[in-house]
Amino acid sequence: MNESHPPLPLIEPDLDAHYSLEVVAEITGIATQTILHYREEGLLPSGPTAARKEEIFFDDATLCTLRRIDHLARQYEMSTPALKLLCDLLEEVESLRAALRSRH
Amino acid sequence: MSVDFKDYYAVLGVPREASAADIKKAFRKLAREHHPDVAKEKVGAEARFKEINEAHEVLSDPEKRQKYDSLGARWQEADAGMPPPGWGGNAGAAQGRNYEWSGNDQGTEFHFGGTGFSDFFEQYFSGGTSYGHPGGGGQGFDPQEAAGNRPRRGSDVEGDILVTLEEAMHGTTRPISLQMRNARTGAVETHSFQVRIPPGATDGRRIRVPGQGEPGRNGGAAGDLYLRVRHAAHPDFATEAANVYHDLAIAPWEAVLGAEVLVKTLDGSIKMRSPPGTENGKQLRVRGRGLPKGKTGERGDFFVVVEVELPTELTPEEQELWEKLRLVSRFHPRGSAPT
Repeated sequence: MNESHPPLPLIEPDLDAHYSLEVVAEITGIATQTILHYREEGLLPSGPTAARKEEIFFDDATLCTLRRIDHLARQYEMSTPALKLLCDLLEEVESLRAALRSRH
Repeated sequence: MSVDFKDYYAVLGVPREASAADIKKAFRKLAREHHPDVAKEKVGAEARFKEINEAHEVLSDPEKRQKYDSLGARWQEADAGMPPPGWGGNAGAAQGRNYEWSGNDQGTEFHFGGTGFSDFFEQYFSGGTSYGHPGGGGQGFDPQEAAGNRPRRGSDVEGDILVTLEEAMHGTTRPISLQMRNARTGAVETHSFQVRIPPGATDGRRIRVPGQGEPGRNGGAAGDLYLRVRHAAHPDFATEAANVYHDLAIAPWEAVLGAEVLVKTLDGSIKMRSPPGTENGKQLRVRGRGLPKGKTGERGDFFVVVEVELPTELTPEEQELWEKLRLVSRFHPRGSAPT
């Protein structure tokens, strides 16, 4: 890298970040009602039971899942049960692959 | 820009028909030699270590190895700048274009740098980019897209990043470059930035880098970049979530009588006791000596997995002692006295 260049912008992701429903809606561009629907249908980890929606928080992994679901729903017009099936399968494949890798 | 073929068999110094065990053995030997912490020749050690890791990543995974073998066989036939016909997850995107680009057919294509993998690996074996937000969508119809000038948020982009266990332990900063090309306009844009990988980046974890995905359209927000952590294989340690595993070879008499052994961990050596009667495969747990779990300072556990190794060459004296043991021992694992 050339010394004379200004330093590259540094991005410091927070692995432990949690976001409220409103913030998640803003980050992902998905309506809060839709997010709550996916959550109620079991597509997102529900976390500790929250009495009010103001008390629901989401982490980065859930954000990624949410964007994936939204993409599949829009791109392929998948129904919620189909989305759930696909998400479960993807998760299972990923965990099996991880188990395979860690055994090397 | 073209991608050079990587001869992973040559990198590990094994023949093409090498067994999984041979590959593991060759990897361990080389990784031990070239591990940045121990290499005598510091310059280039890290690059070499990553290269060895990449070769291991592909050849130790039966699926990837098969893919690689079929690719190698056809590499000669392939035109410069074109992948072998019908190749891989990006076949659709690759047709008629320079194949170093991966991504979707609808808009932006992207190419990673600084992930710790070679361009060759990025092109053919990086699992993250082909699935999901941008890549999986290929030929789909997006109703929002059809609506014309509505603002549209950019797709999220996902890529693998190779992280050594030392980096996962202490955290690190990595320069990343993401080149994106708009398939419609042909314009190439490069985003370069550094990402702080915090301690506790466990294998498979996705690190979200906000706003560094595909740019939005018509005033829409940019997508996010997800870096999926891939732990570099280590000659001495394996990981599962925040737990670290270490194989410890012990002699049969150590297994039977117990032993005090010095065990290397990611942060210093520890003295530990393997109790008398330790069976092969037994896991001895050391609490809190694994990888960090996050900002809390909490850490995973360290597991010592006992491997009882047998002597293969015996001196006459050893031979005599084992024979004597056979005579006097009351241990009959099959239930009755041997005949």
